[in-house]
Amino acid sequence: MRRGLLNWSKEELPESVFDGRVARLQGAMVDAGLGAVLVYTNFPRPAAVSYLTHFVPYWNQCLLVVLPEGAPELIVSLSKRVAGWIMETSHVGEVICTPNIGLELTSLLAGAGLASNKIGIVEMDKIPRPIIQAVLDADAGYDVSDASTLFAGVRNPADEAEVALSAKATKMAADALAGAIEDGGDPDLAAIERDVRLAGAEDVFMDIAPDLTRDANYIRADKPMELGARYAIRLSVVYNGSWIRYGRSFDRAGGAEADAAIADYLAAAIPPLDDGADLVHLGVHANAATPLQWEGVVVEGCIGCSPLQILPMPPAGAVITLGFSFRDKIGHWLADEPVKLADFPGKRAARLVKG
Amino acid sequence: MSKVHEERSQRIKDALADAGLDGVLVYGNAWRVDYLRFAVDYSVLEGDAVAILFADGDTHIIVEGPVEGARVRAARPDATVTATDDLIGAVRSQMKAFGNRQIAMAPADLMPYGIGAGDDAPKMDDGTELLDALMRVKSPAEVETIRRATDMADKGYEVFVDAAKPGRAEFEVVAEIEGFFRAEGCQENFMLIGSGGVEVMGMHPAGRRRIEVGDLVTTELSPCVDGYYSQICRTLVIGEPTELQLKSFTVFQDAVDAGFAILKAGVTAGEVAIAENDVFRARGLGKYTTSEYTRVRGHSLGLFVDGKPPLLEDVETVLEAGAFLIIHPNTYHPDAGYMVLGDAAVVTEDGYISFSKTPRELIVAAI
Repeated sequence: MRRGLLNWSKEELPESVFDGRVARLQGAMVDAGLGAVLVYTNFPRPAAVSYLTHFVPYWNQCLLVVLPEGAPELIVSLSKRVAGWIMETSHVGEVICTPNIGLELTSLLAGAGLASNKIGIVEMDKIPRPIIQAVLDADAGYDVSDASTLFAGVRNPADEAEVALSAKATKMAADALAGAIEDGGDPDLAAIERDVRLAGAEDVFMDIAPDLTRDANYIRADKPMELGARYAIRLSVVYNGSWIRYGRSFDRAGGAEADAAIADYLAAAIPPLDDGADLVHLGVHANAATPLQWEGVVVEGCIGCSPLQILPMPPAGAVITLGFSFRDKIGHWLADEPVKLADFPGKRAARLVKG
Repeated sequence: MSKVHEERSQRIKDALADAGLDGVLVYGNAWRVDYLRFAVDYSVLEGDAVAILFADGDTHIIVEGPVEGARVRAARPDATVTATDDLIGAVRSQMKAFGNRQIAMAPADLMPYGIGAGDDAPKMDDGTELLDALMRVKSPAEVETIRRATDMADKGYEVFVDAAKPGRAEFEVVAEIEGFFRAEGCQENFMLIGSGGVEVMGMHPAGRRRIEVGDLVTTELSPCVDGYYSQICRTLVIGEPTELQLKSFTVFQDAVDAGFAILKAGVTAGEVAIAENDVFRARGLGKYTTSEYTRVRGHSLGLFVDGKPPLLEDVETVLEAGAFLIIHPNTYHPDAGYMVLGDAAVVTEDGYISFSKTPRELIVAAI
């Protein structure tokens, strides 16, 4: 379950931010002739609903119903005793608690007086079948279609609030990594976990590449593990619905030269990404990493329900995470870096935290 | 292969043979990972996952994205792993490649729509009950893992008591617990918390409220060890408890005792709930056993933290020997606020085994 701080800071995320996001979706709905858009959320796929309402299902599954006008309504498979908590931490019109989402959904749609029977569903193929089947079986004869592209079109560029929250999440990760590793010693993984959560993170996942002299694969850091002479730690941190990954490599023999080379590379390669339309810049500037050899990059960001998914062509203005792999004679060096792409061509992309 | 998964695999193999099936397709995510973990011993962290397990042990695991792909390859190097940005397409493609082999799927209520949509979708029977029946009854190796998880819950609660000091925020207390669990190699934890006085009506995810002297601090702590959740529910009072708090808590102690007094193989989940609730009703507190104030009077545990059957008066499911559950008559008390108390136990033919060591009392935090 999500077990960090689940709290809505209205100073950082005013209601107007959500009103603006929902209004953009409603505008796109009307343009597409949709009577309603359905957005699913559960623990591993919370991003679209939290983007629109701040609601995070710490557990279980829920469905957001967005109509062309008014505040979205939330159907939740949670006890009605937590409805008050949901209203405190979310910007929604009504919370409907039920063990049967499909039943409540069709009831809600039937009573909504939809102007169109066309229903858009974000990531429709991944939603549990009984929910979709309830809509298909309804007497109203709804015409359902996938609305993932429509939602992705309004999800970015990131607004100021998202950028600020992502930067804060990045700083939480960077501070925790910096504070828990003594030169040459083993990292204090418990301290890293604790420090990120004490800083107010909603959650943190930790992956470790235990021996970069052998391979560059991160594995889930569930259990204590033996770390080699060179290893990497990657933290996936969420703060108020904004997710980033931040990772760094550590060499017990030092590695200052490699750290400096990676810093030089990031400084040289990231700003020219501009709006992200041409990721080739990440390879073009490979020489800036000398003496390290640039191996490749994984680009992740959010355009739907998954907080971080592979984005071969990230949208302009998005907050993305770049997972870099470098190499020297001994082994690999990994670095995961959150970046804000420019909203327009010709503007510079920027790292969320320097250093 | 771990001992516990070796046992699970054999039981699945036997069940598939009995049902005339070649294999089973299971879906999972980080919320509902139980079927996936049971079938292929993998707990997905990010995204959705589907696995296809054949009776001969041939295992195919499909996950979303390279990050999760690296995790699953490390955890199950013997399996055929596909990391993709099109999970549904990959599943359908693999199912097509398996031809007309007889494969059931589970859990049906969470199966992604796209897997079964359209005329060309793979035809699969519902295998949910087949796996449910296996998961309800814990094997000896599973019981041993449960014992370790319960031990972790006891240790975690000690950390909780040390951390819950006046002035600390709820989320800061949880951060201490999570740091401890990380050090202990505990990969998951389901945890709710409440703090305050008579105004508190329930528990919730951790917030910013700071603990005060005189507070009742409630928690439902559920560490997960090698995939298996145990659980402990306790109420902590910050400073000396009042007479009213002590007196109020006795109804929870008596209700837990009443539930355990009848617990054995053959009783129904409903009968345990009735035994608990009768204690409240006898003291004029019956309305606090209703859904206005509480959810369930306990529930099954195992690879899912909130399993079936729930302990509710109208649930007629017969508890079998080997079932693992918690009895927790948690609810609001009008004189003291929300209180919790609960212990987990494995049902036996003539009673139960509980591995919990934390005293079943109102815990006092000295200040």
